[in-house]
Amino acid sequence: MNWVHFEGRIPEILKDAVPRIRASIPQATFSLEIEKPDRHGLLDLIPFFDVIFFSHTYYLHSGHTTPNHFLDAVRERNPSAVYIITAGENGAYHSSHDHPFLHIPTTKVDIVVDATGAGDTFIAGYVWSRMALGKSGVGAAKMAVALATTKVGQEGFDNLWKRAC
Amino acid sequence: MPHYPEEDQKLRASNVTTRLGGNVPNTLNVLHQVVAKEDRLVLVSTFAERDSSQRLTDKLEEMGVEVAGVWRDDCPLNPQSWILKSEQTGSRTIVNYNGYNEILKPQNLMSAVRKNLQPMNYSGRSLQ
Repeated sequence: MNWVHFEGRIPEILKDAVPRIRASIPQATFSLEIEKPDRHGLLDLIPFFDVIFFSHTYYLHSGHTTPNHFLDAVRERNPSAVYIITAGENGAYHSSHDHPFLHIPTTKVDIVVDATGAGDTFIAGYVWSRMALGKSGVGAAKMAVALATTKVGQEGFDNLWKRAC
Repeated sequence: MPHYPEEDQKLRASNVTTRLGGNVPNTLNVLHQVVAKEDRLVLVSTFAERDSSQRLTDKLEEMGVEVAGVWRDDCPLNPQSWILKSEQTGSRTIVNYNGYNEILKPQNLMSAVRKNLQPMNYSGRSLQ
């Protein structure tokens, strides 16, 4: 199984490249991270992806008042895709065609040691859970929240899986 | 450092650590801890000129991550952050550098991904 993940940086480049890459590797799963609210045009890429990760910041700048409304709105662009907002201490919000809205809370972290890369850790947890552990979208998101929560409680990324599982 | 420096003053740092960063390198750092030997992790990106990128690409390769994309001779330094941590207050002041403005042409991106992700001989995954 192949998984191709893109960091949503320059919309113009991705708009040109992604459809053609997708066409040449049709059997791969494609995911996109949309992190920075000022990168206009990234939403237009949604039809080319199977999984879209939004940062909490992106949602907060979206103008929508609840995660549910935001996810409903983006879902119209590609009803079969999975959408996830990584929401820091609030865990994650997940939306797919069979589970239109699900909030996955975190377990409480006593002390936040180092939150840098928590969203990146979430993506790793989700990708691996879907690809290798055979988990459903919701199951993978739960695993990813657990992994990201473990990450926040430690410096760096060492031994994350052992501590989270 | 013992405390946050005064402007126009010199201060000796008490300790220095370096860490790999960036969204996708972070994700790959977490993934490399669980993948099987036969799995492939590939980073397709734009890098600063070779000498300056060596440490970064060495570190990625140590994790079993293959690197591909474009090395730009006109970019002296990869994007990075310097975090000034004060022992006195625990504050973290971050100075970020991203000297080149994004970079990878669609054609380069496509050819690097295609080259590294041929369905016939590929059994892993690729992350840009």
